[in-house]
This record gives sequence, structure tokens and C-alpha cells, in this order.
Amino acid sequence: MVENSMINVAEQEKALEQATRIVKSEAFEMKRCLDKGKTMDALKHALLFLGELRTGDLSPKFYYRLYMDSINELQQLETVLIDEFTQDSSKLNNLYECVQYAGTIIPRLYLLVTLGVVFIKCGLGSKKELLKDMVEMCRGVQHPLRGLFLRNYLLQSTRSLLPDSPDGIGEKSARDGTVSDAVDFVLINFAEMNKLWVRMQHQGPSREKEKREKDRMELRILVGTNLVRLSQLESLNEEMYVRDVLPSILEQVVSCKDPISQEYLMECVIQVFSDDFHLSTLNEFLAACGQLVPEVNVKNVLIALIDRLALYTTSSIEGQSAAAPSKMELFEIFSAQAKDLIKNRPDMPMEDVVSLHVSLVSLAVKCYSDRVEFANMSFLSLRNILEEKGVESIEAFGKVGRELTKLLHIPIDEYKNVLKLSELPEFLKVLNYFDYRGKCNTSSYIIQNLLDEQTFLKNDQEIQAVFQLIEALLKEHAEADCEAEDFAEEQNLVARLVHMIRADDVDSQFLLLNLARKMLGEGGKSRIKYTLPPIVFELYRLVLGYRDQKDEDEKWNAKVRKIFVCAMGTIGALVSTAELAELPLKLYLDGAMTADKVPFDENHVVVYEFVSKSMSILEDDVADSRDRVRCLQLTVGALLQTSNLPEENWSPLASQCALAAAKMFKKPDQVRSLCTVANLYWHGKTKETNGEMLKNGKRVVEILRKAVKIATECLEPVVQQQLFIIVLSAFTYYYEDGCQEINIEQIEELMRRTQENAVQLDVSAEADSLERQLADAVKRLKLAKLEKHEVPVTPSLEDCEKVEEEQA
Amino acid sequence: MLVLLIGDLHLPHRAASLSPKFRKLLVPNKMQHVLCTGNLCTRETFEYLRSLSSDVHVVRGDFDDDDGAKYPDTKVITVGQFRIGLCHGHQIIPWGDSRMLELLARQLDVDVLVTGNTFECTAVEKNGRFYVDPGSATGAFSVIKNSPPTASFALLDVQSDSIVSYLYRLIDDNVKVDRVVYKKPKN
Amino acid sequence: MSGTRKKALLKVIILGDSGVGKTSLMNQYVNRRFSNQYKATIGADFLTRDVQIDDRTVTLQIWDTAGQERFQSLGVAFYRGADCCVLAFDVTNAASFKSLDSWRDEFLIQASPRDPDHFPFVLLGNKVDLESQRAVSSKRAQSWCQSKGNIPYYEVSAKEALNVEAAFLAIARDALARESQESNDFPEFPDQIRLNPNQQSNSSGSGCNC
Repeated sequence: MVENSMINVAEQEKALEQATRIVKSEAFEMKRCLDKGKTMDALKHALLFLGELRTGDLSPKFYYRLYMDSINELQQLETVLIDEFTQDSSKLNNLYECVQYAGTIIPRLYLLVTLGVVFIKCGLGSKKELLKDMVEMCRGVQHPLRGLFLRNYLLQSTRSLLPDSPDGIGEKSARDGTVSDAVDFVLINFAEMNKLWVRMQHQGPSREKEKREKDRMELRILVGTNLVRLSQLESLNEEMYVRDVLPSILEQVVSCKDPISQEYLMECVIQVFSDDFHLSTLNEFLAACGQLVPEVNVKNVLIALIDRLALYTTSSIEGQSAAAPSKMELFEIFSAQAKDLIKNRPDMPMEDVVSLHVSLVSLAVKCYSDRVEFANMSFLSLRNILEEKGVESIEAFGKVGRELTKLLHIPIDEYKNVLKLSELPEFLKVLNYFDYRGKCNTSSYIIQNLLDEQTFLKNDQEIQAVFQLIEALLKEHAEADCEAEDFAEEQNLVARLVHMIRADDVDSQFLLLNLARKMLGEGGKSRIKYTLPPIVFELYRLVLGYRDQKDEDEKWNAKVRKIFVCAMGTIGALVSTAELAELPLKLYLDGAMTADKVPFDENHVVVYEFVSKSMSILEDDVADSRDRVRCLQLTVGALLQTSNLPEENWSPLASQCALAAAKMFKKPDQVRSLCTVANLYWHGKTKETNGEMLKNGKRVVEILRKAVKIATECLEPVVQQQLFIIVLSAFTYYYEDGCQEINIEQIEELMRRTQENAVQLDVSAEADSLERQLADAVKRLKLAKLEKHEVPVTPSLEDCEKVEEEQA
Repeated sequence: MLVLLIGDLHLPHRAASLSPKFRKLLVPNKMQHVLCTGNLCTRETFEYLRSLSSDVHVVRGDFDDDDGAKYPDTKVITVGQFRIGLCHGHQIIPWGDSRMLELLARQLDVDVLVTGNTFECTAVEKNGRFYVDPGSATGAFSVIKNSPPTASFALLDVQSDSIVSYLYRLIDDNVKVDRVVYKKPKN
Repeated sequence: MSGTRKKALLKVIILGDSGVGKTSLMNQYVNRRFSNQYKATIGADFLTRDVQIDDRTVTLQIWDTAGQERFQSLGVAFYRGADCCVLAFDVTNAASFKSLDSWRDEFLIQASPRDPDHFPFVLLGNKVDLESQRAVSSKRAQSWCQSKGNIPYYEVSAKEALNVEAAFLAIARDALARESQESNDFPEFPDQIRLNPNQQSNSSGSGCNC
């Protein structure tokens, strides 16, 4: 028989359309006949449309559409016939005879199946016998495609008719049969369908093999449905499954020696039968796996089984988990199976080997969470294989790498506590087979998990354990690209990790921070700039928290000092090794402010040290003029936060600031900085002032006057104006605050000068803004004057305006 | 219109992450604007703020210079009838001086001035202007505070002629909210 | 045409993501059974149950489908001829709710019913017995239904047999209403067409007897 193989989709659509039209028109006629009670004629029309199913022109998906349309019509026919003949069954026999003599086999068999179903539903004859006849008669169609669909129709229409009573109960079972008969029926159908399906593989020229295999894959669900049907039998108990059903299926699967069939059907078995059945037939099933032909990807089958059972044993079924003994053996059985499989297939690709271990580790971690050694065993088994095969430096994003990533993530995700990973010594060893990028990625994942799960590190073992796992991120490495964005992200993660160090008491915490600092210090200059600042802040936090224990601990002073020394040293590393400037400068300033708050002996020495170190950096290492201005501003701000420096220490620092201000490269910067520094002499506090502000008006005025002088030296009118306004504002501020040394006439002189300048400025947005600012400053000054001279109540600026208007 | 005020996160220098309770509250696309007082201090944190709303404004905090991002010292945005000024505050010497803050507010010509640096969540009306400080969103360690830090942020509900501010604080792992109303003075 | 027939066969398709409970719903309705065991559905299969609507006995042919695409290797031709489509989702699984749009669209494309805008759909929200794990509110489901032309919505539990009966009864009614409309138009086939019963169709060019 020659198959008319039409691959062209358009041609198939056309052929299908023609066939469908005939089906529809004949079905229409059939229904008209039925309406008129002309059953015989109706059947003749049915035979005609069923004839379309004889086609060899359609590939499976197209044939399926035709098939569906046809059986839709057959189902209508079935319904009518049942309706008619429930009353009068004699006519049925006539029909049966008539149909038996129909010319061609396909239409005949479809109709006979339909009639058979009608018989059964009308309660005529022995159900058991009818089913047997039908499954046998289908042997008449040996063409694979057509035979598969025909048998599918048989299976589908008899779904709810299969005898499902347990064996040996009731007399009814003699006629109708019991579940065993149903099982026999389905198994025969299954075996026949599998044979047809396998036959397709070898039919036709070898150049069309690919198309045939594609067609076979499309048809697979037809064969699988038999297994589904078996699983739907309520009375099919475990005993029957073990004794009859599975062995029969496995025999069919193994003996057909066809890879497509074997792989699909084994997976099908796993899908459709219940977990209890699988657990009780594990050995038989796995033995069959061993007998499959080499082309079958047994790993997929094994993984499907392991994953399914892992799911089962973790969910509680009515509060009763799987019986302990079988649960125990599960892991060992699968481990052994996996091992054998890998041994027997020396050319199994590495990613498959890892993939198998993914399932095993998953099983171990999810089902045996209290038996950490199982997971460790799986890691060990993988490591042995990796070692044996001389695998090295697995690429992070390659096929193997991706499976390895999945593998390593399993315990991290499941345990939700990265500290538990130290109970898996093989984990780290397997991790180290990754290339550098792979190790970094996994390390990042570990830290992220630790942060998400809020896993604190409470002692040095825990720190050592975690730092060992993330070693790739901590140590210098030739392959590290320190400019990459990834790098910064990774190091920031490590930085965040520092804040998770939480010992119970101060002494321990200090030791831990020290330990961490040492280990992080080995990261070299590109890493420490990210990872050491958090250490510094943790030290500051620690010492501030420790403040209240002053009276409880006799060694309090020494300890506090030690903490500051440690902080200073850490910042020093940022200066010398990482060659940073601004960041350590700020850290020193924070250190100064912190030390000022802790009342330990001679704390002012430490404060002084911090500030002067910070100023050295400002002097020597901050080059850009804008940065210098900002850093000086920060220094002044920080110094103003201190209040315990003795005068003799405070003065030199303040003078240094003033000097630095005057030495700024650009004149406008000098002016601005001087205004900033002036604050020191007003708001500053020393030990001697006992919490009160210095309010050294004389010095303030000196500095501001100097600022005015420099401002006049600025040549650009707009800039000069800006600066005048700034100084004017500053003067006003101190005047408002009661600075006696400010000569009001002098300020007013400055004010007039500024107002004159304003007129001279070119029109611009900047000028407008300055105009507004000047007006504002003038108002403020007026208000301050009023306040000083007469008014008891403080008027608002608006009132002041009104007064102005009135005066004008 | 909702405006989120947030800042002084100091990630990762001083804190590991934003509290999960806050993360849950900060749902994307609910706020029209995000104003950040500074001290993020990484690109990652900036991206996180961007995920909350497309209109994000950040000003420079004292620890923001290290990741290369150049934020301005001050910014002004208009929301409804209100001009809102944004500045970290370390530039105001001495830190936290209310007169200097008022000066800045006048200079920027704003109704509302949002600053940080104090690590204290406050909202105060003074002389017709509204001064808000969202504090530190991560409760980061601060050298200027005497008591341990409280994580906080603020939310402004800008209406036609008033602003209702909600101050969110994390106290003993519970979120407490305070409400302060500011009405724009008739001028 | 079908006015004289007392019985009608109505084809109903159940669609939805894998695991939402399509097979369980069908089993509960037809066999009044429920099992906790998960058995994947392969391809498409149907069960029938007779139901009384007013004075008519109607046979509901309920097609249960595989939620996973790999179990539909032959395509979805079984959608054709459906009188009603039931969309099912799991109220504890938001993703299964989000898939509804694509299930509905796919059905309309593949089945190409005559009047797609008025084709009867019904939405079932299953597993309401797990109220504490609910991820999709009634309200949300209802507004989806409204936006799709006021599809009826039923919250059901196949496990507890909650509302399943009522839902399928409504489904049967909707399907019946459509079927009686449908049957009156078969425009392409006027009375005169009569094919010679001996004439073979010209598409089967094989010499085989089968």
C-alpha cells in the first residue's frame, strides 16, 4: 500500500476542507433521515461520511480534525439510536446485520463500534463479550494512522462502559464482567495500538524518517490514553497493578525496542498512575528502565519519577506520610540507580549527569531535611564523577554550568539558612569546580539569601563558615574585573553582609568585627573601599552602644580606646592601600564626632587626632577646588558637633580651617568658605564653654570683613554681587543673633554698595534672582534693626513691608 | 497626589537593607513623585527608587559622591499649588539650624522644604512654611543622635490647598503612623 | 430540525491551567467522586451525564482537557462543535486566573464558533474550600466576567461538592439555548443534494480495502 504523502499544508487544508464538506452534508442527510424515522437510510449516509476517514492524504493533526468532526456526528447518531431502541430492541439486531455487510472496512468498523456501544447502553447482550468482540475486530485495520484513530474511538466511546466492579462479587459480573475484563480489554487495545504506532517508524523511505517521527510524536497521546483509562478504573487496586497491569505494560514497552515509544510510555506511566502504585513497583519499573534501548534518554524518565515521588513524600496525605521504611529506601534506591545509569552510559553528557544529581539532591533536601548526610552523599557522588572525568573550571553560563547552578541553589533555597551549608562539606568542594564567574555568582546568591532570611552571624565559626563559602568574592583574583558593574554590586553585597554580624556582647562583637576586618582586608584595594567602611560604622555603632556600660566594666576606658584605634587603623588602610581621599576624610570626621560623645579618659586626644588626620587629607589629597570647598564645609559641620575639646586643642583646628578657607584657589571659594568658617567662632563649643556657644563676635567680624575684602577683588560683577549678598546675609544672621561687635553702619554701608551694584548689572535671570535675594536680605536687616531698637513684639516680614509702604 | 519623601538610607555603609515591613508598604506606581534627601548611596538604591515611580528627584547627601553620580545640592519641584524644595541639609551650617533652613526656603522660594541629615522624622510649620524631614529610611546609625535610630519615611498627600503628611516610623518592628496637616497660608 | 427530538446532546469543553481541578470537577459532577491523587490528563476525553431541563432530558457531553500543552500533541480539534465552554481557575492561584484570557481567546480562534461575541462561556472558580489561601477575590473574578460580556460566574469546590451541581445545570441551560438557535441554520445544504451511496469520495486514492 502506497501512502500518498502530502507535506504541503495548503494542500492538506484543501483536502481536509473537501472531506469535511462531505462529512457535513452526509451528516445532515443522516439527521434528516433519523428525524423521519428512516434509520436504515440514515446509516447509509453515515457509512458515506465515514468513508472520508479512509483517506491517506492527511497528516495526523489534519486527520484528527476530520476524525473529530466525524465522531461528533456519530455521537449524535448514538444518542438517537439509544433513544429509539431503549423501547424496542429488536430492530437493533437488524441494523447490526445490515452494517456487517458494508463494503469497506473503516466505515463498517466505526459503525459497528457505535452500534456495539448502543447495545451495551441499552442493556443488550453481554457487556464483556461485546467489548471483547469490538477490540478484536479492530485488528482488521492494520494501517497505523487509521488504526490508531479507530481504536481511539473505541476507547473513547467505551469510557464509562467498562466493567469496574471488583473481581468475584455478584452474579451480574458473570455477564458484564469485572474490572479484570476491563483491564484485559484495555491492555489488548494498548498492545495493538503500540504495535501500530511502532510500525509507523519503519514505513516508507529513510529520507522521510524525520517526518514520520514527527507524525508519531503527534499521535503519542492516542496510545497514552490507554494507560489513562487503566488509571481511571476505580477497582484497579494495588495488587492487580503490581501483579498484572504493570508487568504487561512493561513487557510491551521493553519488547517493542522502539526508542520513541519507550521513552514516552515510561513517562506516561509515571504521570498517570498514583504515587502509591509507583512506590510499590519501584524496583520493577527501574529494572525495566535498565532494559530500554540505548537511544532512550533514561535520565528524563528517572528524573520524572524522582521528582514526582519527592513531591509526594513532602506533602502530607491525610496526616500520614509514606511509611518510614519505604521512604528511607527511596533515596538509596534512586542513588544506586543513578550511579548504575551513569556507569553504564559512559558517553552521557555532563549536563545530564549534573541534572540527575539535581533531582537526587532535591529529593534528599526536601524529603529528608533532617538527614543532611543524604544531601552530602549526593554532592559527594557528583564530586567523584567530576574528579574522575577530570572536569575543571565549569563555565558559569554553559549547559553544565546552568545545571550546576540549579544544583547548588537547592540547599540554599530549601534550608533558608546558609549556615546549615557548613554541614554539607561536599557542597563547597563541588562549588569549587565552577569557573571564577560561577563561584562569584553562587557567592552572591548565598549572601542574598542570608540577607533575605535575616541570618545573623553570631560567632567566629559562623563568620569563618560563610566567608569560606563566599571566598571568591573576598580574595584577589586575576580574572576579576574591578571596573565592571557586577563587581561593584557584588562588593556592595559583601558590605551589607557586615551588618549581619551580631554577637551578644560588646567584647565578642569587637572580636568578630576585627576578624571580619582582617579577612576583608585581604581583598586588596579594589575591594576594601566597599567592604571596610561598613566595618568602621559598625565600630562606631558598637562604641556608642557601649557608652552606658561605663560603670559596669572596669576595663571600659581601655576597650573604648581600642575600638577607636581599630577604626582609625581601618580608615588608614583606605588611605594607604586603597588610596582614597574623600571617603576616609568623612570617616575620620564621623570618628571625631563619635569620640566626642563618649566620655572616656582623654577623649579629646582621639577627637583631635581624627580631625587632624581628616585635615591632612584635605590639605594633601583633595585636589579639585569644588571638592575642597565641600570637604571644608563638612569639616566645619563636624567640628561644630563637638563640644568637649579643650580650648587649646580646639583653636588650632579652627585656625587650620580658617587658613584652608583663605587658601582656596578661587576667590569666590575663599569668600564662601570664610563665611562657613565664621560659624565656628560663633556656634562652636569647647570644654570650657560647658555647652554654651563661643560667640566670639570679634573673630566673626574679622573673618567676615576679610571675606568682604576678597569679594571686592572679584572682577565679574555678577559673581561679586552674589558674594556680597552672601556676606551681607551672614552679617545679618549674626546681628540677629545678638553679635555686639557688628557695627550696623558698616553693614548698611555694604548694603548700599550692593544695591548700587545691582543697578549696574546686565539684565538676566541671574540678576533677577540676585535682586530678589538682595531685597530679602535688606528686609531682614531692617527687621533685625527694628527688633533691636524698639519693638517688643516680633512682626512678620509682611508687616514690615506694610510699614515700608506707609513710610514711602 | 502622593509624594514619597525618603532618604539617608546609607546602603550599604551603615545598613544591610530596607526593612521588609517598609518594602511591603512601598508599592510601585502608587506615588506620583519620589523626593530623596540623599545618601542612597549606590546605583542599586537609586534603581529601587525608580521602580517605585517614574518621577524621582535626588539631591546630594554627604556620602553620595563615591559612586560617581552627580546629584545637585538643591532641587525644587512643583506639585499642585505647592513649590517643594529639596536639600540634604549637611550644607546648612550649623546642621539643623532653623534660621538657616528658613533662609534656604526663602531663597528657593518654596512653600515646603524637605531636608534630611537629622535622622529624625519631623514635620513642622513655621512662619507659613512647612518643614519636613523624613529621617533615615533604614534607621541607619547616626553620629549626631543620642538615641538609637528609628527607621522612617514620610508621605505627602498634596491636595488643592493643603498637604496631609503621614510620618511612618518603625518602632519595635511595628509601623506607627502620625498625621500632620499643612494649609497653604492665604497670600 | 431538532425541534422534534426530545433529547439533545450538548458538547461542553472545560479549559484551564494544569492543576486547577478540571478533571476533579467533571468527576464530581458525573461520578460524584473526588480524589486527592494527582493524575495528569492526556489529550482530551469526555464523560456524559443526563440532566433535566424543564421538560427536556439533555445529555451533557463534558470534555475534560489537558492543561499542559505537551499533552495536546494532536492539537485542539476537539474544541469544534462545542455548545458551551467552561473556563476554570484555582482561586488560590493567581496565575491560573491570569491565564483565562488566553484560554478564552485560544478557544474562540480554534473552535471558530458561528457567533463568537455571544458564544456561551461560564467561569468556575475552584478550590474555594481553601479560603485561607485565596489569591483571587470574588469581586475581581466578577469584574473580569462583566468585561467579557457578562459571563456567569460560579465559585465551586470539587472536593466539597460545593455548587458544582448548580454550575453545571446553568452550563446545560446556556448550551441548550445556543443549540436550539444553531440548529435552525444550515444554509449550505439545500434539499436537493443527494449523494449516490455507491459513489466513493475522490480523496481516497488508495487501493487498500480499509
